[in-house]
Amino acid sequence: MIDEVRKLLAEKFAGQNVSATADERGIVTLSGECTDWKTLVRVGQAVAKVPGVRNVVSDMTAKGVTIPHKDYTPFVKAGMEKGVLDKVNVVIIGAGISGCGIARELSRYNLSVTVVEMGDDVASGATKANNGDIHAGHAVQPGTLKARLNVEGNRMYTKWAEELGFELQRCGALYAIVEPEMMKALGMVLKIARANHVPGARIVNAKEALRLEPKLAAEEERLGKKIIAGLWLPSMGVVEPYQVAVALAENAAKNGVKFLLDCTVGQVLHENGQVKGVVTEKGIIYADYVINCAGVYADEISEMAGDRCFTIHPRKGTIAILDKSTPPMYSALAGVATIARVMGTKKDPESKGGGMCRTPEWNPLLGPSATEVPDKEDNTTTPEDMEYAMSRNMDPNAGWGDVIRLFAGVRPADFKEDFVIGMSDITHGFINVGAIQSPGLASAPAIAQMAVEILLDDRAMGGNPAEAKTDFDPIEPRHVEFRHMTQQQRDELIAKDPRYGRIICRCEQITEGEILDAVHSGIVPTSIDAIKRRTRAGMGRCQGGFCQPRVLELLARELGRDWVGITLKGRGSNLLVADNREEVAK
Amino acid sequence: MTKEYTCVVCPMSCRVTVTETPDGLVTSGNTCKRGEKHAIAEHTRPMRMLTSTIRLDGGKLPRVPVISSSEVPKDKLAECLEYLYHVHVEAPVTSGQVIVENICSTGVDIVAARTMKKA
Amino acid sequence: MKHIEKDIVVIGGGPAGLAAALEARRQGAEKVLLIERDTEMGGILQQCIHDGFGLHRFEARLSGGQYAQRFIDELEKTDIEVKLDTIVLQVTDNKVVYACNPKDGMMEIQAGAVILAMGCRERTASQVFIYGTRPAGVLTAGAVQRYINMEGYIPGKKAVILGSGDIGLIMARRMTLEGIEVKGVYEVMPSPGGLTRNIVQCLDDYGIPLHLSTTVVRTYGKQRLEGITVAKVDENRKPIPGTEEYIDCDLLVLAVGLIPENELSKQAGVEMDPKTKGPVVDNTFMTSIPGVFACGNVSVVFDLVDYVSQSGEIAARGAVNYLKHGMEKAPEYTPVQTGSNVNFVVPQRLQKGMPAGEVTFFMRVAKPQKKAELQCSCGDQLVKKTRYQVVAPPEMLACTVELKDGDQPRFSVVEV
Repeated sequence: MIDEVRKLLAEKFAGQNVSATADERGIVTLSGECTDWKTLVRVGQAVAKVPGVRNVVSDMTAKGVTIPHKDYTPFVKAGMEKGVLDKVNVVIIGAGISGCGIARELSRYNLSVTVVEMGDDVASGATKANNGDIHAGHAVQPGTLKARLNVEGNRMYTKWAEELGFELQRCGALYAIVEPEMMKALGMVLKIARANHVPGARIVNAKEALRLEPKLAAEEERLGKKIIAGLWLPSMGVVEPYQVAVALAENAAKNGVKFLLDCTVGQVLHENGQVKGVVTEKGIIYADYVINCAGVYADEISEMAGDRCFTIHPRKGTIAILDKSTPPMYSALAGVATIARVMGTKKDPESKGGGMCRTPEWNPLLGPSATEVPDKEDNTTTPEDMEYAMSRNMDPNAGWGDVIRLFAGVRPADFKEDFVIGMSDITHGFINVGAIQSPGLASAPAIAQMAVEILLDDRAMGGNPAEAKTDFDPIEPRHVEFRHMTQQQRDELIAKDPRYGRIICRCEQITEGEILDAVHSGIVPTSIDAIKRRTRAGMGRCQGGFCQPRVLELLARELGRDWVGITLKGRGSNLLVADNREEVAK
Repeated sequence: MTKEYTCVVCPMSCRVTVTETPDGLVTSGNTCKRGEKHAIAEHTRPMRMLTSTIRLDGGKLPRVPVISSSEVPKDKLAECLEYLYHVHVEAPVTSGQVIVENICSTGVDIVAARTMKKA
Repeated sequence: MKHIEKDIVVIGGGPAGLAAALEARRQGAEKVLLIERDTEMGGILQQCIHDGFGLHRFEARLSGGQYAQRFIDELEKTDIEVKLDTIVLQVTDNKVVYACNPKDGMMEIQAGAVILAMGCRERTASQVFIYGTRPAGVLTAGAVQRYINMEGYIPGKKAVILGSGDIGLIMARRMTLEGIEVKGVYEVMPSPGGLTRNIVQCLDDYGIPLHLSTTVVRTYGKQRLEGITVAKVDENRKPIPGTEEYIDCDLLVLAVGLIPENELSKQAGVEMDPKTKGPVVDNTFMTSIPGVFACGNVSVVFDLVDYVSQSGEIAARGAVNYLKHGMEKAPEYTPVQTGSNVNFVVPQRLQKGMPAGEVTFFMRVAKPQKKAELQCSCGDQLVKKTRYQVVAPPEMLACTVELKDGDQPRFSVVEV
């Protein structure tokens, strides 16, 4: 296999100064310098495709590019000084959608579980920047782990939504075509959908397409062409990704899982091929199992466990959210795929990249883009990514003036471009759940199930099977959502608790009562953005211009903190600097 | 000595030059009499309104806005503000209530600029 | 749910709503209800502690709070009902107002006439496409003003202001007085957006530089703002590559424009004017829904509070008149036309069949012009002309004209 890798490097990437080595597991390590970052990524991806290569580890650099490296020593030092914090069965690193999902599924068993998260809140990494699509599974290569978990996860979402009280809308996806030449392409997608067992996937005729999405007629008019057919994927859905993660975390917490926020892992303890625990900045936690759900840092955590088996190459995605006052064109994630549009879109072959979608709250959503970046924390927006997001807009009534928020996040992609899920074959007890990029959100329930099975099977094999709890409570009641109530329901609610009668965020109609519910929930949000993700306060068109001081006031009051101590998004992001009179008087 | 001032009397925003001559101050560049008056005032003794906030104890908010009863000399602004940084007042406060009399010997009072009830 | 009936419901207790409620009562409306979302009246004026309000109306340079206080004091002497801490959730086209507060719960209020006076909101960083990170320390001018003037906190120590409208200039001075170092004011347009008076007294007095044709293109700092890049812009307001300059700061204050708050209006089905971003109103400030009026910054963003109050009073008189005489069907209108160098005129149209009388029009020019004359003509007849030494888009022009029923006024600004 290594010969083939070297042949490929010599033939296809002769201009790159890259060399390769391989271990007995099929992990190829690449080193040397590439001409630029994009090429570095292409080299890694190409090598990962060589038969026999399990995954690619990169020591490559690119000319003129500095790859930032996180320094873990301060965290290790702090943790060592603090000493032993806890001894548990399982430590989960990372409270994104994967970590929270696994925590919740593990909380069914008599196991002590602690989740450690470097951010100030759950869902504060890639999860929060996801576009919320619960993909049907028609866009992933059959036979991959992604394909299986995507379709399975999609199916499992119905139960998650029912139990956990988050909004899931099975809006479906409809790709319509107007040119006979596109029929073949449509058939190919259907073939993939069928191979992946996507439920209900079928070709519909023009009449049915228009019945499913009447506004396609306006698109016909603009294009001057009639719709001839469409691919209908009824299982496609939309969620608010952070809402799912919060619900999972709250339910896990209710069932005994501990969450440590603002808690970076600096070291994974292992001895003689057995994981022993982690050193976090808050202290040492001993554990029988460590599950690595560290997102963009998962490769580094795996390396800490002595198992360097993949490298994350960050892929940035930028999303534009539009004002609800220009409602989405379609209920489904629909659109017309024309030859011109398909040819005109620059797409990363490995990433779907988002199009024109909507959120469950009916904001039009454009993107995400897909841009390879060397920095794992590069969630900066750029004019180019914005151009991409806006190019996805097909609504003539919407434009740049309707954008209320622009943000970016980083996908944790590996070179194999598939999920890395499994018990380490070097360090027993260390389970990787890495490289969870799109369709990671859709796959989350299946990923959680798979990770839990790995752990349970291992315990059973060791003669120590986990027992299911008798008092596991799968239900997380839905939070009050004043904005979605009838006037009568609102009246009854305010009569019960007057704090639901005071609107704090006027754009989204979020009440004081809802913010207090969030503050006093199982996972305490302590920043303005954490409150925003829980309640939508500040998510509307004024972007918190009016409500931010009031949310800050509530947070300070309820948490018993000084105003100056309240942050926008965790450590170091304090909104206010000082009481000005005291400051000036000095 | 000559100095230029931007007239703020009307939107024309004339650039008015004030020249010190043995016969007194002479202006040029202004298009009206009001501009001359303004520029000479700016040259000899510029005056400004003073607005700020002071600490309020026992009120619904921790600050109450204050305003000078008339303009104060510009070169006294900093001194007046510094003084106000250290002033406290107890709620309730009524709009117009004198907070500081004859601030920094300017002959100008500082008054509350709104009514603020007790919390 | 409480069912309430009122002659006139005024939504918003800022300068427009206060003036409207008082005038409605003065004109004889008996049951007037003023609804305010905050816990006190006065709206945004309460955070505007600087002076300069009320020059036209009171011939005095009042602070925002003082201006508001005059109306509040007057209102407290009347029997106008005020509901504070109350939010309006919906207004229907048959003038039913749904509102709630912690004390009354949900209220369904049938109004004889509704006056919309919700004010405006500020444009945000996303809306002016500042790229980069999204750290703490990027705030709108209004939010900074609230933190400093009302809550007593400073949100940074080294500030840059984007936008040279009066709000930006006022905040430059205000922050300086509170010990914040203001590094400069940046303006994307080639001319300043605010009054010369404010440039002199808010910037020049404190040595704060104003940079024209320059904008903020990028923010730095993951958690807290660490700096920004500014760049010169071309005539299309696009940043010119190579002109970028990094500025070390921990606070970016955005004073980049106001947008009328019209979510309730749109929901009710009121016809909107894309130019003013407010409802299309007639000479009584009535919207396309008979009995629903709009005034103040809901109808168009004014630059003088005096005009805001005035528009509230016009709307109130219209509303009382509407109550007295009723309106069986939607009226017919004659349009108000815009001529050379007039960007828009409010009201946009005149009700047909109204008795002759004085009508006040508010307008903005499209571009600055010296030695200008504002002309109002009906047909070939010049009805009114007013001379201005200079006119500019930031300064709204007001023009009161005596009109007859059926007149079709046309406003233009010409050089003389």
